[in-house]
Amino acid sequence: MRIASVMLRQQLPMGMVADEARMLLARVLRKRTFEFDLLAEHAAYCHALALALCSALEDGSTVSAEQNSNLVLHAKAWERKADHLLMEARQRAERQLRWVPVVELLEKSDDVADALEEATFIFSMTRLDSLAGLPPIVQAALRRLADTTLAAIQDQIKAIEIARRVSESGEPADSELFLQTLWRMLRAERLCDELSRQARMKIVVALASVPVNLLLASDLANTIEKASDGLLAAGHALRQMVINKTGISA
Amino acid sequence: MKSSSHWPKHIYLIASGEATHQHKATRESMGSKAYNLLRMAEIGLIVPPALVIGTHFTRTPDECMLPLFAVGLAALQDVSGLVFGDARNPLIVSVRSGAPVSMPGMMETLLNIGLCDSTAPGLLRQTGNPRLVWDAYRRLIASYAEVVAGLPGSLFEAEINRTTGGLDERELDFSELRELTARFKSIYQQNAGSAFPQDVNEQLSGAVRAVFASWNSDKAQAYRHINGIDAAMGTAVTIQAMAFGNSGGHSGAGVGFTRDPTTGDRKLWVDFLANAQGEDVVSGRRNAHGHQAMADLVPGAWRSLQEAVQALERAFGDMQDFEFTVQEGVLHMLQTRTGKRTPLAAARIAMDLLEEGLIDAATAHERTAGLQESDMGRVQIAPVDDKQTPVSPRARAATACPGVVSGEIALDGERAAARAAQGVQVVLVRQDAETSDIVALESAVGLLTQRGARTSHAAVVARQLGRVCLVGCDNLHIESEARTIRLGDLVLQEGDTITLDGNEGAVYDGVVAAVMVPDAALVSRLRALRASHAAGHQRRHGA
Repeated sequence: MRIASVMLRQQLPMGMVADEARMLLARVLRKRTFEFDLLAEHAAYCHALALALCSALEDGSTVSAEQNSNLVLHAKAWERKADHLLMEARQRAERQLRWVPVVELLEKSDDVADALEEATFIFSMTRLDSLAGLPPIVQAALRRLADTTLAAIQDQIKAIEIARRVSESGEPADSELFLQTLWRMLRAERLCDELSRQARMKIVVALASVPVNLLLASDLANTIEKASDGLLAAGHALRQMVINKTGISA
Repeated sequence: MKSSSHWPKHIYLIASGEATHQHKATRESMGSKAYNLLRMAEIGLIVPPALVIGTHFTRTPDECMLPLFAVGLAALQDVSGLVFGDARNPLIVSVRSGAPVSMPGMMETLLNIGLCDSTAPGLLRQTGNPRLVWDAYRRLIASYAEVVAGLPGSLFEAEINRTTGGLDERELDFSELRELTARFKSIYQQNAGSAFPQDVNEQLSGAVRAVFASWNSDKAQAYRHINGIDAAMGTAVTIQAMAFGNSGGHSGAGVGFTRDPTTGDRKLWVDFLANAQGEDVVSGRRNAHGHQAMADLVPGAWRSLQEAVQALERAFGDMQDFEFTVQEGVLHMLQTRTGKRTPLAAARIAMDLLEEGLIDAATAHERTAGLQESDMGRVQIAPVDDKQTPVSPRARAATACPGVVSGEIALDGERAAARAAQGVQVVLVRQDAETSDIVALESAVGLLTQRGARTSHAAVVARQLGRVCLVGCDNLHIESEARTIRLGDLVLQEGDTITLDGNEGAVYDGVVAAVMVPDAALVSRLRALRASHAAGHQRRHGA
């Protein structure tokens, strides 16, 4: 706009100003990586969901009913926004084939968002007055599981940002960093598997005599683990997408 | 190590494990904070790498720009492995003041310099935390506007309130913070007459000039006047790679003392805020948690901190006041300095350090020579006998400076000064523990705040002035327009009397009787030290 306004003030021909604007716009668009913008935005909503779940597990049952209800509403809103991004990618894929792998990846990432939203809802039920929260030892075990999932999502976000550059410039250092970060993210699934088992052991020991809490806590552990399974699948899809785009070797 | 022949004078580089200060550095030339940072790096503690512009440039800040950008910045990039303004791997820095003499909170600090539209994705790539990136960016725009462009902070606070609807801003997610950043940029442009600088070098030079200029701010001058600090010494400016305390669940920021600065007891005194930056703790606008929160959240960093504080006391031979950040579970020491303390704490610390072999008897004597035996005790609420009804506190708060005082409520500095001039004892009651209240604190016998941490700058100043100080009083609500306060259900007018108990963290309605309880054991140790010193003196001089 600034350049166009300067050119108009200089009384240059309108056609020339329009050509200059078209060229600049094309240059900017060539640099933009819309697929990665969408992937990054979706991962950011997963991060918001995981962060909120970790904070909730940190706070335990020391929150008001209103705060508990707000947490559930926030989580639902983030999950819906993530879902809209998937729908947007599907619409683009109907017109442009290059969006097909993005849709495949986002479908897997959306499973992560769904699982985290579900986990937040389950945890909110443990805070109901009649249930009075989970024992600290169970809460700590679940927090470790959620923290590991959060860290894996942060690695996913890093991997997406690196992948954006790998696609643009193909620098060897970026390619290596991308694979390292991705590997860390994939490895987190195994760790989550182990942490989930540890959590379930703690849940059985601590809540054997409280069936409702036992059910909810077990369901919570399984659901968080499901999110880490989704991350594993999303990580493989991201790896495949970048390999196809750039030809880097894994 | 860089060749000293090419290294500019009065500019210093600090990095863990590197002998990097090319010209001789002193506390006077690089400021106390930076000198201590250099010493921390030398004893093996992890410090974020830093570049220090010496006090020499205080009067002529423009002269530091050439060596800063031609040599210094490149060296900082080398040791940090990051590049200033780079879209992939950006170096993000804090720009802090640092005089040879500590002036807590009196000068300016800017965080997140180097963050702009093109480097924001790079920070996301480093941290994987979208919330952190947009939180850091909007904070930078607001603080840069206030400190460098001279815009009122209220412009941005009002926008935050509009966005949050009065709720806690920590509840905002990444997309809301991103929208807030866009609105902050627009507010900046409308009020400053130019866009928020996207050129990171322009950001840095503006920040360095503003921090140097803050040496001559009204509050800095007032502080120097009160404390008899020579205005000629000037301030250094430290440009330091940022460690991000607000990078998620295993991060945070804290401030602490290696021993209790109110009693001198041998226990770590730490305020910690999870998922926050250091400024959140020391600004006095947020309630911090104690060390248990840190031990629970980041146990590894807590263990590292316990080891680090022992190393600090061994290296510096005194109780230290330190700041740190934990990023993704890793502890980074940001600064250390000799901690301010009450006279009671000064005596106990000196004698404990002597006992522990960290200082010699002459040093312990020197540090306690000016202390009065009458200060070796605590003013406490007087016990009641069987015929009296014990009074109940109206509110509880965190204790930042012990003792008991009663005084008239004053809600601002003008009222406090006016009533103190009439010979009335005044308790200053404020929402936040902010440093702009330092002059008002001079007129008051105590300070009570609704928010704030024990280690906030205002609490530090209150301790230094010997004022009883309570912070983070959740049950306190101030109605500025009505000139009233509420302590739970009790409504009090400005001018009514309250009593602060800084030992127990309690607030009472009206005057509550207090008595001085001497610490006989401490007095006895102090006397023994003085007698031993006198005997040695006699032997040396044959009197």
